[in-house]
Amino acid sequence: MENKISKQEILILIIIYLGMLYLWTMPFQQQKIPYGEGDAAIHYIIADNMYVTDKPTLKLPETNPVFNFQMGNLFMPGYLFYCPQFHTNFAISEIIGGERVVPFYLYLALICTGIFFSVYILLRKQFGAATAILASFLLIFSMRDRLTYLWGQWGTAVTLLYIPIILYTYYKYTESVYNSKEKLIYLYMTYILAAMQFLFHPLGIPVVLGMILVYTVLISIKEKKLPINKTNIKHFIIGIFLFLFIICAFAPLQVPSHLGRINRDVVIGTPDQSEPSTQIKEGYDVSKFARIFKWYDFPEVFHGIPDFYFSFKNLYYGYWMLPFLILGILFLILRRKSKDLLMLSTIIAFYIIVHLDLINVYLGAKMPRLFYFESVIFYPLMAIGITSIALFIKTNDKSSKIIKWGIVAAAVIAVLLINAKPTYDQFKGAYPIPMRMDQAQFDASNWINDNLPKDAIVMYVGTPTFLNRAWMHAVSARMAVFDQNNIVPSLDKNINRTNYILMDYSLYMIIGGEQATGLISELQQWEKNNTKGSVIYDKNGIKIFKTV
Amino acid sequence: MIKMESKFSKLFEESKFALLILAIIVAFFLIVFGITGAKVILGFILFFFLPTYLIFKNFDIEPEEKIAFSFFIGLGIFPTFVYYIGLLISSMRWSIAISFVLLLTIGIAFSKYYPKSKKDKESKEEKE
Repeated sequence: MENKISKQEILILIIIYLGMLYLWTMPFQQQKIPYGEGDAAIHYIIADNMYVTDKPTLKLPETNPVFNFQMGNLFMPGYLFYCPQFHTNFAISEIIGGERVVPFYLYLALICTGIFFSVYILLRKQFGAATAILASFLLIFSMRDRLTYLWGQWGTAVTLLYIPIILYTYYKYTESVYNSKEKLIYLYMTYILAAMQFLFHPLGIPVVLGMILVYTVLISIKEKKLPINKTNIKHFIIGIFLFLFIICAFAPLQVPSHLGRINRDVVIGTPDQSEPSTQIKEGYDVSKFARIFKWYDFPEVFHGIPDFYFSFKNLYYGYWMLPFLILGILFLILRRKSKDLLMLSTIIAFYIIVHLDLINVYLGAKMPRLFYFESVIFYPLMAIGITSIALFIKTNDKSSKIIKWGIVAAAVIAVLLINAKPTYDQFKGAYPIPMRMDQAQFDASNWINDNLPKDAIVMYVGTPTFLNRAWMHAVSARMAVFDQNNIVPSLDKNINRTNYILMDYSLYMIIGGEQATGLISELQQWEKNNTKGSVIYDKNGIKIFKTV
Repeated sequence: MIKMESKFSKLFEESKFALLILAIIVAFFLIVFGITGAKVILGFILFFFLPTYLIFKNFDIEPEEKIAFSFFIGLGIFPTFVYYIGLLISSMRWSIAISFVLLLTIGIAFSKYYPKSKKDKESKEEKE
């Protein structure tokens, strides 16, 4: 195995990574307007609040009614429910960059694409440059990762980043123990990195813990002894205390809430059918052990993720990469070196975790979200499968290297031909108007943020989509009310609650046509009947009235 | 003397390469995202990486591990300081500056006072 990383390799790696970053940042290169699903808007509100107010967010901004009924901090309602590190980093980026959009999304892109290096580190020394670079390259086009990144489950994206590196440190530690050159730094790094992972999102912890446990079992069987012994057990125990100390000291207000959620969501035995998060899908037979042979079928409902997300065909551009995944697994099973067992333990542990309901352990609504982590298991195995082909061809050392890189080149070409175009298209066309705000809506929201009093309540009239309203509310950072079901409000009950009305004609002016003209005249009629105050803002099809 | 010179020239070569990589990265951010992008990436390296790297560079681990651990831990350490100091002084901007100076001082002090005997022992083992 080529152990030393050459300068050429670093250069190639950096160039490929910058290519990835270019691709992944396309959604905000031209249109510097925030986007994402509801989760994304909530993260933006919390982080941006620190930038706008120049104060850390301890209590959730009161401008967002969602926080009142959302499952926030369980034991301290109204207080930040994520560990503060997560949102603070976004705010730091905004402060460094000096604005509210590009630095926010740039930091997001940097941490989400960080998986490129994380997987590279895990594979490089164990499986060589070809496998490591190929696995990282495959991740550039990972639909699962980019959907998480685009939609807004960003906590999960960051926690994913830590999985390969935690496995790497634990592997290095066990190797050092079995080679009688114990290096405790790797053991402590495992605990410290796990604590960091927890601070960004606790969802990754059971996954990485499961992988470590399975690997420990497999490696102990192979080596016929446990990596834990009389002399190092104290370090394992100190490590647990170190982990607990870090998470409790770094996030004292959030750790009890996280633990409370785990206690609430995880059910051992029969799940409570009255709780949406633990309800069993209608028609689902819990005793259906055929599921042992299924990967994506699971009992819980109300997880909020479309079914599309749970299909190999949909997420991996058909089945063309499946043979490489199987080949990778078979290769590892046949060879069974300790590094092979490490990689095998990732898929075994994941399989066990997502099938725990078969032994009556229900992980609640969060369980399907564990599939966010699937790509970090599958793509390295696929890369191992692809590069292992070279090992089946008997040649001398020099030609085997050429064949290996030739196979990698062929795989890269296939990926570029099959996976690259949909990736490019999705990034290029991510969140078009009206899925994201148009420029007029964004400008008006910024104006509200700069000019209206903190306790202002703004009624949106004419704003077409929920995402438009959510993001206008996020950027303006003022309480907003609107008719959920109608563009032209049929009820005026909200008027009594507001002191400002925002009439939004912007989209209809852009799209034009008969339907838009009809909507404009309906909105004008509504405006005439309901706005009695003075116009304080009037630009690009958006008017803001101060009501009397 | 010759040994010393070769060590320096190796260090110089490595620094030159590191600077080249940094220049490529900053140029990319500058071209694609303008001055905002350049500020963000430089800030990212300076705040999330540098202070923790000053600690990890002393340990007997692979160079790429030093870089990776510094980033992954820096991502969690730096915002912790910023957040809690920020709560105390009620200013995020000042808190970033104070946290950076504080962590940098810790890093430099660690680098300076990390037991010399350990470093010598580790470099001896490395040569063997």
